[in-house]
Amino acid sequence: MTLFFDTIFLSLSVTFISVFFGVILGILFEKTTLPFKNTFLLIFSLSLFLPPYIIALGFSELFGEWLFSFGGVVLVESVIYLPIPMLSTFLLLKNINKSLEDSARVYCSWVCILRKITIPLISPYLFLISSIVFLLSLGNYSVVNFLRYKTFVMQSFVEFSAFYEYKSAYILSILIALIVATLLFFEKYYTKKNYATIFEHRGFKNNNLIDLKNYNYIVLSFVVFLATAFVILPIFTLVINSVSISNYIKAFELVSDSIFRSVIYACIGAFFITFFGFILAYFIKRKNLYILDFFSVLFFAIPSTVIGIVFIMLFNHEWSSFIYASPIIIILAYILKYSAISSRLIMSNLAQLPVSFDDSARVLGASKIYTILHITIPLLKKSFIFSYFLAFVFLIRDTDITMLLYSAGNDTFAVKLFTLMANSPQEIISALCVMMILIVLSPLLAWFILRKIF
Amino acid sequence: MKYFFLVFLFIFGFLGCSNDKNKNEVVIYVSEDQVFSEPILKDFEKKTGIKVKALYDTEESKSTGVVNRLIAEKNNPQADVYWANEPIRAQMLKQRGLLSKYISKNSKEIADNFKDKDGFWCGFSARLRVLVADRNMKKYPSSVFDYLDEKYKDKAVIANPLFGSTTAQISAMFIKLGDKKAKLFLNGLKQNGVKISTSNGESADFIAKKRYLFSLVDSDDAVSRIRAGKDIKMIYPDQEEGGLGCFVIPNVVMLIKGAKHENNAKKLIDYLLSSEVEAKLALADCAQIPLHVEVKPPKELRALKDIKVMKVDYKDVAQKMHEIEPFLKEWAGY
Repeated sequence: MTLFFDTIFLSLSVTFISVFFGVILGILFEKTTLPFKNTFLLIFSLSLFLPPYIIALGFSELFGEWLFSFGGVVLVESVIYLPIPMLSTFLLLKNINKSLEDSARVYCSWVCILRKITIPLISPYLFLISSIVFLLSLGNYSVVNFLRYKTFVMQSFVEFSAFYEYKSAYILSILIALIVATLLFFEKYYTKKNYATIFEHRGFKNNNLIDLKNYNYIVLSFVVFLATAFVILPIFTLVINSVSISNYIKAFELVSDSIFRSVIYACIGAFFITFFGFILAYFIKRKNLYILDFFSVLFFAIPSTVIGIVFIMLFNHEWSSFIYASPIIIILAYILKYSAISSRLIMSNLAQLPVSFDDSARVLGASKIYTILHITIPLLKKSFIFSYFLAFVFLIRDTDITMLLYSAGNDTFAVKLFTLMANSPQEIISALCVMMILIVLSPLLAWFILRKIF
Repeated sequence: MKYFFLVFLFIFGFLGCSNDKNKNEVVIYVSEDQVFSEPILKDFEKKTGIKVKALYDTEESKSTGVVNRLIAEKNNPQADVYWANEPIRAQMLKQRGLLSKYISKNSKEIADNFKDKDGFWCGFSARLRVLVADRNMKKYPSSVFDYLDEKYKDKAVIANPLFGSTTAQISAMFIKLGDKKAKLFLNGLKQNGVKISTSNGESADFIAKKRYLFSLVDSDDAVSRIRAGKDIKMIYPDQEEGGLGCFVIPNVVMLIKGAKHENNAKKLIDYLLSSEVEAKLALADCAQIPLHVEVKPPKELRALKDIKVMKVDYKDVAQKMHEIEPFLKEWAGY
């Protein structure tokens, strides 16, 4: 029980710190005249796309022994999850109905507007985002494992791997299911009610920015400090440690097969996740099947260990050997775990498509499938591309699911890097981490290029 | 939509075909660290042309993850060979009927106490359980019982006895000392403020960083730190007349019952039990002691014949480990 409450306290601390800094940065990047804010937005977002243990490794090089403590875990997890409230605040502020702020500006300063109008307007959503950070921190395994910090999830993994006991995993799943149900209930019945008042449609933006005036350089220094301490230094340490061509050659020899497999699994997985994400989004938005939303978010929130255990129990039979002993089991688990990312992303864009488009096509005699294929899907093209790349990034960095489910000879780069960390030379591990960073960033770069084309 | 299902079927069919038992391959589950075991398996591939598909234990599952997977796959075995980093769980697998008998021609020179008398498993390249101490100590500890010495209160560390080689040694101590004395020893660890670390590697690091004075670790953890220039001293414990002796943990290889690639599996077992592999593992950073007499030990370690070894039957240790598991879980707070 003590361990359970310790874990809750740890996750609350992580949530508080990442949301506090995330909201400040989100406001600075969207609402102020801060220079280079798009560059900073990208830098701070990096940690979301990297495997969490790479950030932990980078920090361990900087902080040494101290990092292997409660404070260290809070620091690393806060940095990893900071982009979620930061990007959410950024997007919420981008889409907020600016006429409310404009009216207030007649008699009130920006500080007063932020305090009394903007932040209260987005606060229900911030609560929702905080809950997501809390859930992710609660289910995090790779950071606490790397930093050897005992949490409830760690215990459930150890109990499973050491004694084949599922009790803690079940308790954790039930708790997470309850939190997810509460969150979705809150989202459906509270935030949706006020959506139209708070947010405006795209295309009617009023880009009034807060002029930081004399504070520009002070705020810039603060942001530079945070970016350096939270993201640049840990990554830079890894680059410095690995700086030798021979290290990279050795590292590549060790993992070339795994990199190939990782890319193949991520390509296939991202394709199916985008497809099922669209199906889910369509049924949730157009057919009001909210139960699908509950389950997809639940599977995303449940610790990967639990999904892994269930899949082993489900497919470890002679009749299903072709699934269990092949990469299919990993791809299926990826689809179950990550479809919520794609469905949520596509859902938000689907919501902006008027239903009248479908109705017009139907009146003209088009079938449902024809309407989806020739009207809905082309209009959601950008969402599909972004969803594909986002899913690709999440799959290529996945360790927790793959580690439990990969069959002999089918390990991925992320898993191999994780297992090689035990007793491998530090410079090789750093080189592998830098390679992982480059692989994770390449699809994001590709997305930016494709975005220009489409 | 029909195109999507065709794509779906093609991709999953293609991926599913990777599980073909007629291929010239062998599937091995490995608990030895990947960084040391993988080069050995690659060499086997080069020598024989047989593709090795390996699944490695991760550090955090403390060499039990793969064992549990083998147990879970009892009715649907995926592995042909298991390379364990200790013999206790091999014995447990034998008791559960998961192993097939195979006596390799290369096992003849290995002493009887390092192999199963029924031929279900055979040991090779061993680790020792040694003490590492801060080199600046005036007098080094010489026995595991020094953990209970009041002068070392809050100054010693041991890896969690619930996992890995520490469990095996504690079980062996239960056999040598009897349950009552062994329980007193474990409770004494708590009373004397012995810190519990997550692994032997972490314990060795604690000593190297001078956070604690001494710890019981595996010899490979000690040697790797010594090779890295850390200021630590390695001690063979309980070497005096009547002492418990140094606990030896060989690697162990075994054939899995129902192996899909049995012939290739036997070839791999022969290779792992060869003196060539023992020489490679002695030279590697894991610094393991060869069980073939003609192979030289790592320069930092004595040959096995020059060490007083704790004499226990690994079969009894496995049995005891199973018996004391509830006590150990309670002791460790699980």
